[in-house]
Amino acid sequence: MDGLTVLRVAVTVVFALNGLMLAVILIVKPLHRARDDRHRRRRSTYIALLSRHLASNSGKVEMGKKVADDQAFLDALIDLRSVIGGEEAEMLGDLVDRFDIARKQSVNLRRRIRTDRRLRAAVALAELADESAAPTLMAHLADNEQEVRVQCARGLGRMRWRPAIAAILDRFEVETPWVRSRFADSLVDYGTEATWPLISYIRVHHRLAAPGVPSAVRTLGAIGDSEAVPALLEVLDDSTDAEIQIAVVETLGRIGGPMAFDPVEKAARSEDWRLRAKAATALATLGDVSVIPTLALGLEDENWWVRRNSASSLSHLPTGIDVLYAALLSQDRFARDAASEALAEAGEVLAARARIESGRGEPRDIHLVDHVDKKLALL
Amino acid sequence: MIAVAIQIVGYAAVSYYALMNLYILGLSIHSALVLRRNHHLQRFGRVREMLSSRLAPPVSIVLPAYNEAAGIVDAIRSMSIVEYPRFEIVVANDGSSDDTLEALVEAFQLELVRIPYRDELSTKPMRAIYRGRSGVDITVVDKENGGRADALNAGINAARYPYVLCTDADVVLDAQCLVRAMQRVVEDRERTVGVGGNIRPLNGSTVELGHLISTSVPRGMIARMQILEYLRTFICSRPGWSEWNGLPNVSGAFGIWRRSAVLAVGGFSPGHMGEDMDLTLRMHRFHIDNDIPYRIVYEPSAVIWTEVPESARVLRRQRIRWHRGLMQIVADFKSMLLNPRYGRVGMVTWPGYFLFEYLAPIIEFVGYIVVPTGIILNLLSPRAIIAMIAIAFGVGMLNSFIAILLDEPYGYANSGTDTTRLVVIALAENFGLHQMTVLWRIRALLGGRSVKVWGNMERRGVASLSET
Amino acid sequence: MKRILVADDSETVSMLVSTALANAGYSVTTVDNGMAAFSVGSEQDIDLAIIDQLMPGLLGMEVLEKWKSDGRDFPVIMLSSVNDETTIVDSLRMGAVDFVRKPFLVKELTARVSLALQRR
Repeated sequence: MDGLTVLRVAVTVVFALNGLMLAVILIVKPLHRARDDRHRRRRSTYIALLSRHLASNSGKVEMGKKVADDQAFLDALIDLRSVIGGEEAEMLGDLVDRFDIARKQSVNLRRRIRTDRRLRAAVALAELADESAAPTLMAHLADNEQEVRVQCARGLGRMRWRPAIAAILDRFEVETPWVRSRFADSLVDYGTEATWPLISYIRVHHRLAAPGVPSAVRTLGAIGDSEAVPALLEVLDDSTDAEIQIAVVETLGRIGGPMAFDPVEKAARSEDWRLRAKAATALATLGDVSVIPTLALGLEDENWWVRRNSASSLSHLPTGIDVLYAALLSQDRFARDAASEALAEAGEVLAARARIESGRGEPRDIHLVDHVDKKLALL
Repeated sequence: MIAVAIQIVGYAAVSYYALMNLYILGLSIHSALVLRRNHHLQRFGRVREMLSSRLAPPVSIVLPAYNEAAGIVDAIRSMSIVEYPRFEIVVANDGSSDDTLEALVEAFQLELVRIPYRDELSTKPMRAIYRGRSGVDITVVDKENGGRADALNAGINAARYPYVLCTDADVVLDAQCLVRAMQRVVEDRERTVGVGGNIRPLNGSTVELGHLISTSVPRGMIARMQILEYLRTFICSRPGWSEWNGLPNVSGAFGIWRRSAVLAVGGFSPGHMGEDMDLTLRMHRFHIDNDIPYRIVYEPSAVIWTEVPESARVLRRQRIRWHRGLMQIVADFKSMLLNPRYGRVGMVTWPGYFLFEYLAPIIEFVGYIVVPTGIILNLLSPRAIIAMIAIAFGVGMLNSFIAILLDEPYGYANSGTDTTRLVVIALAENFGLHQMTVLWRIRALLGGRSVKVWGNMERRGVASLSET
Repeated sequence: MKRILVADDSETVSMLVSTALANAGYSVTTVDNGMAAFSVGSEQDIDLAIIDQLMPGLLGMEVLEKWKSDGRDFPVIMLSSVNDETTIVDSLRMGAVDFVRKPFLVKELTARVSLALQRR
């Protein structure tokens, strides 16, 4: 075969492919469009239908059994659930039972082949949070597809299905940080029911400095149960891992309470700047006027984050603002800067200017405004 | 001797054209697979959860504004209702000579605030900072004129949050674009430093008060050709490149960057004509040189709409500017070309860009001269040449068809007539339109300051677009 | 029959609220953006408006403000998914008669509508 024939064959192939593509486009796209239009219209119809159902007092429904198999119906149901609350949401829950939707979606979830269907089913079950699906969701916490696992955890959290807590915690070590944070998020939905399982998990794993531990600690912070504080204090004492210590200090700050005060203050004097920085932020919530001296010291710390957090915490404490103004006169340039920035964030610069303009300016207002103007002049 | 040279050059020029389209075909197939795999994740995405979330980091939307008095207020308003838990808008007024600043001050009740401003990136002098007192969390930085890159740098300086979304005042954002793009950030917070979005031409669509009501393909050939171009880039190339962590360009119209990373590489380059690509390549280089694990990704469902030139005159200016920018970039990043140290960016995507974007006009131009000459002098076989050109055209059309097929409407239905119109352009594009851009890019290469490249876009205001 | 304007960009919410109100015997007009809400409220004769805080075009509060400055005095109920107190206080201060957060109970919303209409 000579070159020209090869070329000719190639041309024919290319143009044949083009013809094929053209046919596909002219046939497939309109089909998809029509299908999407129909889906959209059905969904609107279902929303209207469900709205009437909710508004009517008799609670009677004229909906054929077939609707249960229609994905558009499910989409409409999920949409409505995100908008309505209370007993009306329960009415929708009754519909879910009536049409056996949870079971059908569970079946979809168990299919092996089509990942998109499984994911859709997992999302639906998570949104519906119907207890009958709990066993299936538990089984799929170890699914191959990452997003399916996450949705299962989410669904179980929303229904506060107790047996799932341990199963979710078990996966902390094997999941990537992103997935782990979403698992942790679903634990927050359990509220205080998750406190003790989390504490056990932390107690067991912190000596190994397992990567899931900081996440578990922070989850305790999000839950906010003060029962966790003694255990956290133990961990802080015991642990040598910086990440864990940082997470504990942050969490103690969130949960608050008198017991947390001493250890956090101690952390504010740690060698690790990250601990000092976290402690500086935490002290704001634990505060009490007794934290002020520690925070004032923090203004002169060598690390920018520590200075910034200390200044910010001071700006949130009643007598802290006075300390910030006083710091404007400090010898330490960095302390002056940190103080003025925190004062600016707190709106004090504007307030000071206003006071000066209305003739009620105090010496410290003038100091602040001068300091800020000098900095601006350098720009 | 010359005869042989003409033969070689002639066949080479034509095969180059075919090769270029084959390369794009390869990219298209790869991208198609990537898109398909991630498609189900996008549709049933976790948007709702992110929105309620403790998981979503705050973002500063930064945009430069130069003489945008006509549309700036509507633009900011529509940005302000983007669906995202926590964000602020930072506008850098780049020394506008019209009422841009006044319009902003009035609409958002801006107050002059004299607060410390840390100029981590150095810019043209700042005149003032304003913060809004009404519902919208907006900061306006008023500065002396310095160009888009300079203005962005000033905006970034004033931005409070760890991530910045760099965009433009004439862009219409889809309500969920931010949350979808940020999902890519949070799923790998440590490594993700940049996310690029999907840009679609706005022309022909109806926009009201900064919101997209409906879309359709515009009337003019010039605008339609661009629609196809954008589709090809954002569907056929970017998904594949992103998968390889080799994205050479995160477009200036929508680019999310980790603020600390932008500072580390020194921000955008003032005066650069391709400042978005310049920053992207610098990000790649910086992280690789310093052994920092990173990734820059493209998110196809983060959709935004922007106006593209409708007239040949304005398009010409734009293309010349782009090519000049590319010339600057080639000079700056020569060392990365075919350098194995830079992984896929260095070995595949940047060389691809260099070969098929930068060199393209030269080679094609040479082809336009040498090939007819060769045929006339009987040195090149007309049949072979025609066959090769036909293959090149054919593969090019295939790429366009793939793009049209895979295009998602993203909530705005495209009518059947629209699809047909695009198909027609795919067929006709190679007969004149493409050649026109080649000539313009040659003009860019030949240099000279006589071509005014910035000018104004002759923006007629998006309101009048719906009249086309 | 009393006329009610419902303005929300979510089709689900509009449909839900308008069906419930229609069922309760009101005549309902729905729009999905701020500008349309404003023009219907200014030009047509309506007895009550339910508007969403976040809509394309004009924000709910801005529509309310414009109506007030035009002298439109029908009662306005604000609907919102935004959770912060300043928005609530601001809307009430601006003249809204009530503020309903999403998720809400449809029956409760209907009851508040009838209460607001009675109070006039």
